[in-house]
Amino acid sequence: MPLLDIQSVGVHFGGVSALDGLSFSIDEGQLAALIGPNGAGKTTLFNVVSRIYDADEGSVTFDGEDLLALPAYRIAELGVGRTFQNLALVPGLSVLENVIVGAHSRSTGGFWTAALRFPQLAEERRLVARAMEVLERLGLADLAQRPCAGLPFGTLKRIEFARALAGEPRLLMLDEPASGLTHGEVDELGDLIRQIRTEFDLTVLLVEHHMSMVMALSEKIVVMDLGSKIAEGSPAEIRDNPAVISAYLGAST
Amino acid sequence: MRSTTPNWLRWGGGALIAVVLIALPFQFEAFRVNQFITWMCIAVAAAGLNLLTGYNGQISVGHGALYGLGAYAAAILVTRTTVPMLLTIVIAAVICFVAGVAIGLPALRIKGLYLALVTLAVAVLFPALVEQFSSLTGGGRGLALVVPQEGCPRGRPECPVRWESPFGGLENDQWRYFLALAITVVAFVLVANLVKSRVGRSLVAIRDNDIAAESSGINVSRTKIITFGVSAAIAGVGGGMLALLNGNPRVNPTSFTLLVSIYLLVAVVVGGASTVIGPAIGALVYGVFTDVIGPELPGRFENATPVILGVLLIIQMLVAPNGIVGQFKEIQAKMASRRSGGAPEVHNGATPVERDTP
Ligand SMILES: Nc1ncnc2c1ncn2[C@@H]1O[C@H](COP(=O)(O)OP(=O)(O)O)[C@@H](O)[C@H]1O
Ligand SMILES: [Mg+2]
Repeated sequence: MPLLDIQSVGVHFGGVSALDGLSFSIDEGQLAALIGPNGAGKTTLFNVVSRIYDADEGSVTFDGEDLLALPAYRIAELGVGRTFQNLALVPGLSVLENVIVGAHSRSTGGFWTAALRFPQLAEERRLVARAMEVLERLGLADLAQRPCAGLPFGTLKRIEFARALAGEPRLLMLDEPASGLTHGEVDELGDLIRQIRTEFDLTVLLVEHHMSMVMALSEKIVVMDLGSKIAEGSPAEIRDNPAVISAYLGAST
Repeated sequence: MRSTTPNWLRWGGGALIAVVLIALPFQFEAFRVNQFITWMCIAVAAAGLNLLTGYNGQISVGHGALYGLGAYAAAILVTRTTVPMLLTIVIAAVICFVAGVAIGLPALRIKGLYLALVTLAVAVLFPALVEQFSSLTGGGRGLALVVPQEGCPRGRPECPVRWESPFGGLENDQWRYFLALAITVVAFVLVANLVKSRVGRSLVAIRDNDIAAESSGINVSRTKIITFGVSAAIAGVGGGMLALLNGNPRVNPTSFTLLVSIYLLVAVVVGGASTVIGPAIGALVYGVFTDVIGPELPGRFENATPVILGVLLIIQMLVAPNGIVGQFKEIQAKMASRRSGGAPEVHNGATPVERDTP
């Protein structure tokens, strides 16, 4: 059974079909990439899996569970973490607090225990320690107490990465994690993703425009155009696929 | 976020404030002490509003009504039941929680200006409701806190609640002051704990980026509703304190007009929204203007306090939009980073941390 199974998913905004009968699946432990020109529907798919957008047709299951039957806030708890293409951090919180928010579904405590503070102390200490570990692993520990505002785009994307990891996901979805990075930094990020995936025992779905990174990292590539899948296969198969080449050159077949 | 306040300033400042707060009722006459008690009630209600509007980003222009509901609930319980007096404040808080949840329900669908309008309607409706249920509330005449007790003048069976101190040497007003101070301190400590907890982070996350909050596993709707309830409950405690402790043996509907709702918002904004102590500072500013400076103004300007407060609010929005406490924190952060030789912690024009998500 695949870990994530997308079946005939359609999302329509007025006359625009952002997704149109999209189907593919990812196995547990796989590092898969989702590529396609701008506007192909990659981010929309992430938003469907996160339950931010409703799917008009189709089904999405995660480890056999029907995601489309769940509210958005239940998705993290099942083990799906993500980052956002255009960033979705909380400016009113420090870097550390942003990462701790990522662990919300892995922690407990409501209004009463919070107001009384003492019942929550041990949990709070555990959360801080765990978030610091993740920040350290991603080389962000020095920024822990800083507000997010004023940090460079690439750093903010990495903070989102840390926040997603803090949620202890099984499936991690990264939406253009390398945007805004220099060539050297892209390579470094590729290595980091590879290592983190082993260390945290993750299944990864990567959306990325840096083809060198996609080709080097992925075990499977799904190519989308205009809301549908146009090809699927290993990096070598995708490289030589005529449909992919024409989609990327902008010529319609 | 970790505070940048140095420890000596924290402890020294805290000790000084404690000494002043304890000394105050011994330095002023009863009528002033009663005003201080009223300021504390405003501070507590504003702390409740700050939780909702400052931390959670849900605007309420109707908290004067919840403040009033707390006051009437406590007063009615005191006069009509045998519930111990301080316990009536707790029950008032529970009643306000329920009312807050009810008012908060539409907040799930509407935001910003529309929510402000709905809560505004609540504020406008409240005095009419008091009038409508005048058999319970006394209507426009107010509700006298008269209870059956021993030792009433001229041998009557009933007379106004007196709050005699169980400790010798304290006048009634001083005893009421210390009761109010105790409740206020407890309320602020609970709020302080709440905002720096898992729940507090959720409130800010929802305010700043509800999609990030939701995908991190925060039940946004539930949290918003409960926050509305908790905020209302705290405002109700402020109202209950006002009804029972401020020395006025009568609860009047004029204490809970739309203007009071607006004063509460002003107290939050002037003191510093999303800071723990801001609402207390804002309530102090409000109190000093209405009760100390206002009456000193020459006859023609006697009723000008709201105008003066309004003008001050405008100036403040231009000079220190984060409120007094917010401004203070900013200056501290700047000094700290200058000392450490680093770049200023916050500079404008840098990468926005949230863009048109998703
Ligand atoms: N919220 C929305 N409202 C209307 N159209 C949208 C919305 N989100 C995405 N779209 C449209 O759906 C299509 C796919 O967008 P997107 O998923 O962002 O593509 P990608 O991430 O592959 O670049 C685009 O045509 C985009 O304009
Ligand atoms: Mg995209």
